[in-house]
Amino acid sequence: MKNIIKSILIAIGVAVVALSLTFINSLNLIWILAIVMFALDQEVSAFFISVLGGFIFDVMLKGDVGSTGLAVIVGLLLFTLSKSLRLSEKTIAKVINIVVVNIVVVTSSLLIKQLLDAGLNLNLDVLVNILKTSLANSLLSVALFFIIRNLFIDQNSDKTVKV
Amino acid sequence: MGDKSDNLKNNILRLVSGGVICLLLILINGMGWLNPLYSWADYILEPVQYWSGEFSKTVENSLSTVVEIGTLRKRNNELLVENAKLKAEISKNNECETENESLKKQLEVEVSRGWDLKKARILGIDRNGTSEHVVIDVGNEDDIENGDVVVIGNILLGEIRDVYDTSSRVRLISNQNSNIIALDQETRAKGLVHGSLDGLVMEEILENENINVGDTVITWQDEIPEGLVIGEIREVEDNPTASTQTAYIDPGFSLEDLDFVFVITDY
Repeated sequence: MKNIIKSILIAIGVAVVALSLTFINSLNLIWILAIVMFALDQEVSAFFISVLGGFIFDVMLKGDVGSTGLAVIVGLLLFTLSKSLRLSEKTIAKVINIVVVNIVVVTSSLLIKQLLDAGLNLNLDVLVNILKTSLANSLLSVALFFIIRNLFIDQNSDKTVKV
Repeated sequence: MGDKSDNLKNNILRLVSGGVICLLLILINGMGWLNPLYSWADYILEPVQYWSGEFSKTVENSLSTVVEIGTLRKRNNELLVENAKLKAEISKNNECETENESLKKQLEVEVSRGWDLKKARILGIDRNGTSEHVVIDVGNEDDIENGDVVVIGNILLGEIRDVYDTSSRVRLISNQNSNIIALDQETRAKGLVHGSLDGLVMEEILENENINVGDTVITWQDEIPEGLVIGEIREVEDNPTASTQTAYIDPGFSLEDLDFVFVITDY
């Protein structure tokens, strides 16, 4: 119960901070933290950040409520598949997964928003935009992954993240 | 093994239920049932949104100042020269304006009034692909209406699309759904401006019209005050097989540098 309450509070905090990052082009803290927490096996936190945090973030931006959370869920489902196939057990594999999942999340977000706004419009410019946005978010995701893992997780035990 | 299998099932169940919740939220939002929530959320979240945005911009400005010192110095020198030229032009224009007003009065033509402007702060920027919006901190309580034009000085920023009690959502001119009839101020060539992933694009320009790099593009549409600056042409597409011309425009503003905008409530 305590973990769930902590996760809810973190999700609300993340959503508020994520809005400030919109002033810095392309970065979305909801995507980044949800993916990082999932990579660190903190699935409950990742769930609350993506659904609740995404909901609050979309309410503050006043548009397409649910789209941020849905895009992250799509990425995390892919991550779950990768984990079930044991493709993300080593650190390097986790990093590659983080980058791939970021690309999937950015693509899903773009497609969902286009479908809700004006219909699908896929061209080379869209792909370039996806790559640019994914790269920016991936860099921050990987950095946060290592920082949180090294600061809060004891590698030699099964202790969970103390956030 | 059993634990891992249970963990996997729980994860999938969690994510699928999260996905269903998000889809329901999208559906409910599409029906407009969440609009009261937007107004209610503003009262609680608006001050937090504003201050977190200010902090973010301060951090970004500090970092970028350090990184770009060399470029800034060069740009500063260029701007000093440009400033001196503009001051001279303003002085000349002031003379023309005085003469113009005098002539209008003589012809008994009504002098045009200034616009009614409402100052607003930017609370957040939504830019994903070609759907660009900003959220500002004025709404119904400030007599803002759907369709009101948002500007920075004489530069067009966008149009109000959704109004709530104390906030509004502005569709930027860089949004792909934003279509504005525009005019090349120098050559008087007309076209349609909308957003794309290449930035602002002016299309449907007749083949026999002249458009040049560096020309200023202004609004030329009934629903929007005429003469608002949209941007400057940076590239003219060279396509001999096309029946119309296309130009790419640099907008007159950068979202990251904006603190305040103005809503034209009457013109």
